[in-house]
Amino acid sequence: MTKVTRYPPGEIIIWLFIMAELLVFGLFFAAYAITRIDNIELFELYQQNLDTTAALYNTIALLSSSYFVIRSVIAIKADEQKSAYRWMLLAVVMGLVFVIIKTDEFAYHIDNGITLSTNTFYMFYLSLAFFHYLHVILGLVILSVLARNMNKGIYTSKETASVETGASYWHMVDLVWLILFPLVYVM
Amino acid sequence: MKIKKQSTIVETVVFLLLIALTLVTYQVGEMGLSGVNISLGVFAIALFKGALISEHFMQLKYASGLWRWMVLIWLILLGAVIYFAFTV
Amino acid sequence: MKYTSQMVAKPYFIAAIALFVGQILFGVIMGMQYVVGDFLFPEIPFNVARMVHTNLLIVWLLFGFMGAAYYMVPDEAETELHSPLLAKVMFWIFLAAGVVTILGYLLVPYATLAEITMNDLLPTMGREFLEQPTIIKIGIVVVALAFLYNIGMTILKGRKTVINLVLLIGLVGLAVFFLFAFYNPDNIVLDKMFWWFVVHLWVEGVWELILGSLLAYVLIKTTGVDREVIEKWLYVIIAMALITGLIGTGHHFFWIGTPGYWQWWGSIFSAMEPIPFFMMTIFAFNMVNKRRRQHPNKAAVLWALGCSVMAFLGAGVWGFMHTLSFVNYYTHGSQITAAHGHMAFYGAYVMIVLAIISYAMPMLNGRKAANSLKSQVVEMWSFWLMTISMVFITLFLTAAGILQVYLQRMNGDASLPFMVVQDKIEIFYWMREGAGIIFLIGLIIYVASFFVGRDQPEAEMPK
Repeated sequence: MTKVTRYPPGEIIIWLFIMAELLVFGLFFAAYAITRIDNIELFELYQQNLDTTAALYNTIALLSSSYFVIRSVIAIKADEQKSAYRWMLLAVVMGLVFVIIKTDEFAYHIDNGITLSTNTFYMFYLSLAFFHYLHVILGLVILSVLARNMNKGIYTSKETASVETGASYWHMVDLVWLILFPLVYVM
Repeated sequence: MKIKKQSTIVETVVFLLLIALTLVTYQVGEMGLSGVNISLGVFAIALFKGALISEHFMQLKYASGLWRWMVLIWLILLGAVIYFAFTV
Repeated sequence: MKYTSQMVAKPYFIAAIALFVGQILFGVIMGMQYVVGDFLFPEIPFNVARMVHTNLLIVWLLFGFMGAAYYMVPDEAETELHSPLLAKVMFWIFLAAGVVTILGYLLVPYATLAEITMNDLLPTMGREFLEQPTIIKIGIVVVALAFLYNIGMTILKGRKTVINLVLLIGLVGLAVFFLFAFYNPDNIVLDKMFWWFVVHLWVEGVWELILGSLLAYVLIKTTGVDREVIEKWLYVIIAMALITGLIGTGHHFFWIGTPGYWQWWGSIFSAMEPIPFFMMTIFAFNMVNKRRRQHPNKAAVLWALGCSVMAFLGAGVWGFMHTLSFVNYYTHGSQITAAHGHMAFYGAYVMIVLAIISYAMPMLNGRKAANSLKSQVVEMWSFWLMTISMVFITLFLTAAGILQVYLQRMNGDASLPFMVVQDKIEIFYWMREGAGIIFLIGLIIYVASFFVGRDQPEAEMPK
């Protein structure tokens, strides 16, 4: 009997991207951790300059956003177009909360003259955070397009591939942050 | 015919659990607890949160074979590297 | 061959091969000069031979890309080329410019060449691979624009396939990034940084799109696999190439005076640059495995498969070996670099151009689909001779490079000076030259394959 392959949700191509992204971030996280070995005092010292409370709000924002996305997916699978649209809108709002808080964080560092060249810790923090930030923005663009299409009633319980594709990408963005937050801000 | 809607209970519970674990991590950071074991504990929580995302939010619990395991393997590998980097 | 305008590809392919022969002759000359220092001195000094060798490589590959486009695009777009006349005129202009440049390098001292071509009006000479006089560079831009216009108009009025669009994006990128050759900052750090905007963003960027589209085209034609399957693969491959290659440019910014964070960004992103090449290998073998028919042009399939393997080895594996900053710190500018450079260029770009020529030339010569069995056998011999000798060239240079790096840079107080080390690795240079001669023989056999078995019947598809 042949084995049935149950594929992950959405178009397969997005999962190839997700794996590529996880590879990049994974390598960056690994490089961070390994570099830290010889620079523990430096890392612990400047880590204290980071705004852990802002990061907490950001984590809650992204987790909520991911939750709202999945509520939207469940709604569209039940043909509840209005409900799906509202959940997706909420997801975008929470994503914007993340962007606003993060932009403020970056502005603070820039105002204090912190750059990629300030020291190795800041190089990693700024690189990781900014690279992730760009992915959040791309994800928000995707979610916004999905929301707009939902408002137009384009998706139905039979046509959920696009929604699930975008949703999968967004969950990856959330997943990466869940590693970044404890690793760079706390540990 | 109205389509029976999938229950949202599991996802909601997972979400609340994720928030709770996040608050724990935050508290550890705020309290300034240090030490390798604390750090590794915090990271273990992060990996568990990651698994919750991959299984329940990314819906990989319904996928078969390598597709289901790919993110989990990523988490495990990362865990191994971090463990090594923090204990060496 | 469905569209008569595809015939304009033929002169481009012929010029490409002729210039390829010139390139290898000068390669063999330089290989000799490595071990007999005054070989052909002062008539052809090493630095002049080098310019001729590298410039000929780029120009013949460009002829190959243009010929490929002129052949593929009408077929894919299902319409005649917009202006065959323009293509023919540009051919002669490009060829003349190329020949004049090479003659300029050989016959005139470089400083004089700069003077008579009025380099000081807009100085662009004196940079590696970009040694051409400024007026020639302007000529190249004109030829490129005319080419893009011709191809673009053809695609515009015809069917827009994924292969066509990826090829066009790659070619437009090629032209756009070449413009950086005109930007020549006084600051040496910036000079070097922007130089890589041409070189890296070409061979580890937009040229990979060209490579992907040519490979996809040859595979569609020779395997009969569904276009949709091949197109999906192509999308993923070029996406990975761009994701890894754009920031991967940073692996050239380690030591030139740019900020230190490039050592991190460059290492992490470029470490993943082998991925699209690995995907191309899987792609090629998978498609051939799944093929719906046995195409009579076995030689073309061989070139395509070989390309996917050698590109992965030369660009992917050998590239990875020295891409991490803490390795590159020791190997930078050594024979390791030369080893990678040769196999990468041969595997990725030489072989794909030879693959498309192998596929198209029989039909440009009036055949239905392939050359005679005799002709193909000779061609396949040339494939193996060139490819295996290139592998040996690479292995010998790698050995030379490892020894060089160790003796010159890793031996602490006992580290030896450059020329002393060169003396010690001489044996590898002799062996490299031997392999190079065999490569040249392979190339001669390749040229011969166009002339043997011409009057014999076409190879048939097996029943």
